Amino acid sequence: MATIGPAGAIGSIGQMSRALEAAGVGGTHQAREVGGSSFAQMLGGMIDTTNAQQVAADRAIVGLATGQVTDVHEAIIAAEKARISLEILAEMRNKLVASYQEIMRMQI
Amino acid sequence: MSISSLFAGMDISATGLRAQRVRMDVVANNIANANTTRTATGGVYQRQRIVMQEAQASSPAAGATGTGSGVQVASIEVDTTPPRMVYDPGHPDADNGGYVAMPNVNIISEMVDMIAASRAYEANATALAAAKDMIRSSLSIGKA
Repeated sequence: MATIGPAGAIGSIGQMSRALEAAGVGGTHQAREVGGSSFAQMLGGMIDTTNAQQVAADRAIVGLATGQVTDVHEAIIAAEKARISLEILAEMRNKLVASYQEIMRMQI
Repeated sequence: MSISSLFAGMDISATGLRAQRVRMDVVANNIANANTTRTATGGVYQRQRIVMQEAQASSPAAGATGTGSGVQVASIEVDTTPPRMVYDPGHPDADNGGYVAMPNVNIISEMVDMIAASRAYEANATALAAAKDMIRSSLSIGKA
């Protein structure tokens, strides 16, 4: 179930964040001092949580269809959580790309 | 901060929804058994009532800021008020005097309880939607 739909798309974002981490983005001295962990690690953690929410939503919907989940609201709430965390992740990604493009446009 | 603590409000409302659904089940069972004179334990059916308690802080819905973690159903207790005695000598369960012990279910108070449960469910659903809208509106700060 983990690779259905949006979860697959998250996988590619995960690769992107690992590439960022390998390139040393977010690994600056100051970033480590402030957060204790790098920005790339934080983003990676967020991707993992979002993926977990997607898997939970998938499971809840399958459970509802097969009669294992008795509360309808459980499945709906799981789906809503998955949707919101995906929206948050997409917003974070948009900000990241926007700041990258801003830096690339900089005159030298 | 973990992302799941964002959803603490939604998880708390979910516990409320679950508790009200169980309450509704209990009311439905009382109404269904309003005329039941035989039970598995022997004797007349006794009205059931739900007891709710504050959820333990160790549950996954516990907020990161020391807020509560919702409600849970502590137990379903039996209402011990005496049964309603109805004179019906032809009934198979009538005693020597011709009286039948009918359940202590008052259908009117069950209907009121049912409305209260359904409104309380709505209230929890509204709180959940409000918590969700707050998260979504905080996302829209960055736009425009």
